[in-house]
Amino acid sequence: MIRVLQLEDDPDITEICQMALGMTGGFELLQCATGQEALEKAEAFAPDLLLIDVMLPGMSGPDTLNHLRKLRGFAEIPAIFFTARLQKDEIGKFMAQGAAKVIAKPFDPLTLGDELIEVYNRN
Amino acid sequence: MTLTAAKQTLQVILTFLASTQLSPIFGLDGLNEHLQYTIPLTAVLLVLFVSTLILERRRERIQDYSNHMFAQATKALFEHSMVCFSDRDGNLSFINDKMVAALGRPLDELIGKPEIELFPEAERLRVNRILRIAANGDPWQGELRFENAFGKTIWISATIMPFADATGTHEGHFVVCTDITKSKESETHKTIFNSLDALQDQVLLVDADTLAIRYMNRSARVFNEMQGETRYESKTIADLRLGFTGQAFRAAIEDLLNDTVNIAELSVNVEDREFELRVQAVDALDEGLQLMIVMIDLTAWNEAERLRAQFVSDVSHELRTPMTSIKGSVGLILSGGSGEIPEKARNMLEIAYRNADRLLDLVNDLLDLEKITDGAVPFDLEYVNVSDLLSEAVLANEGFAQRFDVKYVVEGAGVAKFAEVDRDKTIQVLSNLMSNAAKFSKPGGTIDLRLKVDVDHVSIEVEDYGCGIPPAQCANIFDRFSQAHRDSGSRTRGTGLGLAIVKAIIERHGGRIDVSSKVGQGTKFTIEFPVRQETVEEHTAENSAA
Repeated sequence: MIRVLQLEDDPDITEICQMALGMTGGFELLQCATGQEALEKAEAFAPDLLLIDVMLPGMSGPDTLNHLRKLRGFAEIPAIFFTARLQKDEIGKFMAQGAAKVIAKPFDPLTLGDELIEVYNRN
Repeated sequence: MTLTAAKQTLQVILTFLASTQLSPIFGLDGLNEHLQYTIPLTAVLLVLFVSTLILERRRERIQDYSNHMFAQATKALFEHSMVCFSDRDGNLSFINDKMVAALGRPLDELIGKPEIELFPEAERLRVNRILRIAANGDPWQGELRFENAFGKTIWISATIMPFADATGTHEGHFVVCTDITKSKESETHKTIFNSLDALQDQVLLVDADTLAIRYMNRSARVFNEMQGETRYESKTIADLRLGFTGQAFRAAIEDLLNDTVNIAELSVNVEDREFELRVQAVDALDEGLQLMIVMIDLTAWNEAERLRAQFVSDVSHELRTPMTSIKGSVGLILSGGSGEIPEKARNMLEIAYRNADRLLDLVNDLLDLEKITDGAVPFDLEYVNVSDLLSEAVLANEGFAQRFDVKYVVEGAGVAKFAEVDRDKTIQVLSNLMSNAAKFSKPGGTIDLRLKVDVDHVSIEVEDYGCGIPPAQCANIFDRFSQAHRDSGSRTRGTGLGLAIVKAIIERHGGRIDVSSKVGQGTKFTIEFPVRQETVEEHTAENSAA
């Protein structure tokens, strides 16, 4: 079981991810709608992977990641950014912030699970 | 005449002398008495004769003088004015040289012709009314216009003077007139200048040689704090708030001065405002070559444009999230993740999925186009072998070639052809043109890709031999949503933005794109990337150093 902490504010996308990862199988998923909620629940959940939407109301995805990194044992957890399609240089910017991968929206739900497994195995 | 008068006077004297001899008037006999009267009388008569002679001479001189004066005055009048005479039937019987010259027609074409024909149709009703005044014996003064042989309107200030013979019979009329076209035109100029003063944009006229300012409209005077009407007359372009020295201004409009372009467009910032300057050469016959500068304040326009671009970008982003959900959920259903689906429902879902894809492509293209045209995307310029990029693009489009059963044939790829381009964007351009060409080719056809090099540019032609594009659609094929091929079947539908993106990318490189097409024969797109000589030298030096 790969434990995934997902930060995503759009309930429909949350549900699609849930179903997509359910179909692939082998995931334990905790979904949070805000950065605040993620910070509160992160330590107790002890995730193996972080799946973070960039554009969020309030605290942004990258800001939340910075806070999460300060938690005990979170410094090395691979983080994947979920974002609207971006230009090459913007992807580079997120990678520089310590992202293991950037997945562009719209993503293909059928391959999402495999992409997460690939990142997990790589790290 | 003088001789006749003298003779007459002599005749009178002789007659008198004879009469005094034959029948003395005073009834006196005797010579003494006779002589006593005759001598003084003769003397008086001689004096009379002499003085008559003198007077007659004087009269003659005065007559000569006034004749001369009259001739000179006529000459002066003919020199100064156009003069013609029309007989009582209204036909021209005399025209002076000046008028003939002004009319631009030979004299024999004019003499005997109706005077009214000198005037344009629109003016004739009025002229006829005026000529009736002259026919009634009254003079008329005012402004008229006629047209010369070259169709130019000539404004005249005219006096029409009726002419009657000694018995008072109307014989015709004189027309004496002066050309007032110039002052009429300057009145027009005045109106134009007044209109220019009402413009919000700044308008300036500058001497092309000296860059001295000839004219500024109100807007320009206010901007440059030169409201006093004449204060700018000794100023040049360097005295304006534009921040140009004369030399810099000349350099900026070099292409215009060399006649390589008709209009030079410059962007200038003055303090926190942005201006666009359009400079054109105006050839004023009397005053030499002048430059007309129109200066448009783009600050507000740019701000509106920025807001619009931001809006398009925001909308595109906002559309993306719901599209992700639609596409994601339909995709999951189609994958069978939620159980078996009936065949008919599957067809419908596939339509929904395909169209969700199209909508996403559209949103992506819109966002792309905005980012490229507003310069938000930095271009990663590299000095690369364009020939390699073309090979890469051919490889990337093999799938297309197979799908549409066409073959890409590259010409001129053997020699390296370097240019400074953004690698990914250039491949995007080539792919777009190549996939378009594939879509519109006949199965089994070829698409020629020709790589050419010139002194200052590298060009690539992408030519297909397919259905071609009608001229009307060819003209705006690079416009957004021009949809040249809208009616050629859904199989080939695109977003309608592909070529607009291609053009935007090429233009960001400082290059250009052209299209030529013949319906039924095919279409050729030509793209050009500029090659700056300095860049070539730089890289040649680097390579030889290595």
